[in-house]
Amino acid sequence: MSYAYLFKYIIIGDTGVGKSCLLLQFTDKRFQPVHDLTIGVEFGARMITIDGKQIKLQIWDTAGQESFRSITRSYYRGAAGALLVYDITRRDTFNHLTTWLEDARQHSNSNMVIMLIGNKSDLEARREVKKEEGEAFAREHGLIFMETSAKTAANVEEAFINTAKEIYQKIQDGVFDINNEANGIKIGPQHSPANQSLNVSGSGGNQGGNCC
Amino acid sequence: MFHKFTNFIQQTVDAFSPNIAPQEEFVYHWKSVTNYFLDNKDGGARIEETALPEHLMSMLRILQEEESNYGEAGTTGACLEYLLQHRLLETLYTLGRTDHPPGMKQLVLSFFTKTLSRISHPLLPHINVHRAIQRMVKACGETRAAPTEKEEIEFLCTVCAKIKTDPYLVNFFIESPKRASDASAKPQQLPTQTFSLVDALLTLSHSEDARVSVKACEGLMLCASLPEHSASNALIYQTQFCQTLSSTLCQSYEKLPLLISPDDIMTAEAKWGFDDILERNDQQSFQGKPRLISFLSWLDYCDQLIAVSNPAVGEALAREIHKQLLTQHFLAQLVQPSESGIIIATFYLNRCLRTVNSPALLKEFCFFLLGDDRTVELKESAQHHALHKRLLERCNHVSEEVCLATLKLFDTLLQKEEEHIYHRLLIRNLLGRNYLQAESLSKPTVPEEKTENTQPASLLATDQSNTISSSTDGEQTKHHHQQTSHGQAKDNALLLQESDDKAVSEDLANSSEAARNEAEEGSEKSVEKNIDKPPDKATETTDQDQSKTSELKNVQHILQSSTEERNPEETVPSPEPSKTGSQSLAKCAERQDNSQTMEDSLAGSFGRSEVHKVVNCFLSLLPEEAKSSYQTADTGYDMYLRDAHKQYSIQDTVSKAWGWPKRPVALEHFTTQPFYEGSFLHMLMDKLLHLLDQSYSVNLLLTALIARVALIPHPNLHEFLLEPFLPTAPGTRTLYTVLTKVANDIKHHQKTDPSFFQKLLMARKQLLGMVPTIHSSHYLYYCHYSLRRKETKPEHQWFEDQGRMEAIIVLEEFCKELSAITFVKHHAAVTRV
Repeated sequence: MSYAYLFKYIIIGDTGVGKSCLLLQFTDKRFQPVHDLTIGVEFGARMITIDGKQIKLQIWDTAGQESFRSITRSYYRGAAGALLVYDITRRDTFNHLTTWLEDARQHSNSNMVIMLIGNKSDLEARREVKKEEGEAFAREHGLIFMETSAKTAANVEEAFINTAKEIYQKIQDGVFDINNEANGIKIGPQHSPANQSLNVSGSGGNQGGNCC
Repeated sequence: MFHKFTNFIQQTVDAFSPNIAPQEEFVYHWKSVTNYFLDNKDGGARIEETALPEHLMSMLRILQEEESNYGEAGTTGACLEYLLQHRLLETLYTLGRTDHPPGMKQLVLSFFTKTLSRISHPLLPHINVHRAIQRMVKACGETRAAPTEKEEIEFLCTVCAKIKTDPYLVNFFIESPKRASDASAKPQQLPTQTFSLVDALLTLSHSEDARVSVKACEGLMLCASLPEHSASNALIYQTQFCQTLSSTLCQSYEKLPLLISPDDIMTAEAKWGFDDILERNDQQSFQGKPRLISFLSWLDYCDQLIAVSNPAVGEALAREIHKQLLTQHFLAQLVQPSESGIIIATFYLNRCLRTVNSPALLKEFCFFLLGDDRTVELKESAQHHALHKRLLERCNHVSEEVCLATLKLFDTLLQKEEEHIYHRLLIRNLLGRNYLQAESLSKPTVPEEKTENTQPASLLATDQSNTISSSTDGEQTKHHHQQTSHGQAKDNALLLQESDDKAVSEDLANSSEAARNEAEEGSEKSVEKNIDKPPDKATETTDQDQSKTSELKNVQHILQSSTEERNPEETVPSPEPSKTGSQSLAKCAERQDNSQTMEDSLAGSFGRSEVHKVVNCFLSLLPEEAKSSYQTADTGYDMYLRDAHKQYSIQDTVSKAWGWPKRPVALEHFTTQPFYEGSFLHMLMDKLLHLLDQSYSVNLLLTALIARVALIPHPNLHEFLLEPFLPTAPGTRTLYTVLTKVANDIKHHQKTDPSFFQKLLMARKQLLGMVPTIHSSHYLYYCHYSLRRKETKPEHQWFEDQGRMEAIIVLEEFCKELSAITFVKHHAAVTRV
């Protein structure tokens, strides 16, 4: 499939908050409760439509473990959007947000759109972090906020798509220089005369979906 | 089929007897595995047709359940105990090693991976575990493109992750052969240790499967970043780590396309990681792009790797890249006889330099390009670094392309965060400060004004008391200006004198220079306008009576609002920086002492007159008859101001770490007799002197380069470049004297050519035809870059003296830029106090 834009995302947050599950739910529409720890960085892709335009999202799912921090940092470069995830049933994952945010801001481009996500909203009974707290944190740091459940798929689509909308808006406003690929945005191949890559990029997307 | 049946029975057993002890079940599954091999010695079944996967996964499940039931860490459950006691993993390794039945190796690998990652009990310290794991590590990467690659890399990365969490574990994976028979032989001569984990990862990093190779690279990053001394030593000396990574880089360098446009080289973007996979699929915008991308992403990988590595590993790898890529490959390309070859090699090097950011690798690039000597540079000396010398010569090469390519390389160098570059190219020969007139440095009898005159050098003291203007006239005639520029100097001095206290416009109205009055006012006004108004408002005539004080405040407001809040500590006058600068600062303190009081008394009157003097000095270098910007558009001065401000804050932040002095220093061992500014500054000044005879593109690049240098916040460099009233030693060229000389040439030309102004205007309009407004000289430069390609087409009508006129336009813009830089630097110094 041809696309108008390609946005690069990264998903960050403590280990075990459900980053890989969010990605799997978004790319494959399924939930896998038992999951091995992500080693380094995994990758997935999906097409979405915004404003009648096909947009390809290319998503890096990073390892939450501290030991991989130095590697995941090098993936921050050239990302247009980031999903910063915590687990609403584990207070410590919420407490670490500031560190994650500092890390992301330091190693990414300044225009990167960051979406704060409180995951596991289906586990209401075990909730440790109130929704209001998430909202307040997001407000304070200028982030978009949403609670999701990778298990029930609640808000998962919205989380990815709203981030894309925000990036799209920034492009319209001229904040992002789309000609600089270091910003994590690329113009689709239909803008160039060579169209032979279309099939390849389509299969790339499928491949990405399967890898998780 | 039979196994399906047993499987069914097993599930039934599970269902009907839930009370069976986990250990019994565990042992049952294990026995089933071992029995399979006893019973099926020559069976040809594939692994999927056997019950082995189910048995192993059940064992894993039981282990996990056991651990979660025990809850507490440190307790070893019965099943885990069984696994450890009966060396299950070692047996499994042996079974997997044979890959019989086919797929067994994959199965065992994935069992190992899952056991390591899912069981939180620290398993690796157990000898029965790490021995098996280490053997399995050795079995990875044995055959290229093996069907087990995916499982192998997952296994290896899991091991790496475990080690990274507990770095001491790495010692289990570094083997020192201890054989009694070897004790007599000298063990030092051979590689005494093996680090199989790294060997396996290195092999897999060359996998055809991009996912596998990226993962292998991640694994190598983890190994290289271990803090353990034993690990870094083994990595550097006992493995091919540095050699392999460097030679991969060289191999992809060798494949780089040679027929490629410099633009394509410089605009190619590549980052290490999955980007690489995606780029390969991308449309090919030019021939050879995939090869370029693959080279650049591997370079980026090396750079990232060096950045996160244990410093010892990072430095070793950087040195190896210097040796292999730079010395053995780049050097020959850079000094080859073919001009087009030189150009492409220079651009490739430039592009590499843009990617390189890790301190260790950047340093090696600098040593390669510029040499590592930090002592003062002598004019005629045999000890010049050969490549550095060659590059400087190329800035005056007969081929303009070579010259441009080399100037661009220097431009990139001056944007890198490496103190050595600045020291080598610009600062070392100024540290002696003997560009100053001898008596102004030492004689106690110098009049007060003069003492001050040596002062402004420092960023803090760019400002001087008003008294200076009264003496400038004489002083300048005496030692500062050349005979030929006397008239100009006088004009300046008059102007400065007048502009001191009252509003400029008022002064100018009373000026005795009636003939030039109108023009002068025009230019002053435009500057004033731009300074006064908020940047986004349209140009309008402003109240001429506005006092200078409020004007300055306005600018300060503009500048401040355009950046983030300053750090609170910045506003506190900081004591001497403690690092590298302290030494030089101690020395300079001696000299500073006597002038300190003077400066203190001046502290209150900062900011008013002096900066305007200097700013005007640059703005009035060219006679009004040779200025054309206000004829076609607004002067764009505020754009220069904003640009300079932005660039300066970046420069300032970067150089803070280098502990540069706040005031000019005079270090004995950096003096040259007679004063020599150093080959790089010498080259820049020489080229600037030939401005009128050089092409537009060379001039734009040259002035952009000098502007970049002028922004650098080193006090010696600052006074040398941006202090027009500096009492210099006889024969010393400063930026201002060179500019004055060029301006005089222009004046002469203008007086002798009656159609001078029409030509000038025509040249500007032609240049502007490309763009409606001039934002900065850099912008102009890019405009021209596209223009230059069209030059051969007949549509572009060349008229007489066009090149000269274009050079004059560049100079006009450059003067604005310099004055903006001076203002911004001054502003920064004042607001910091």
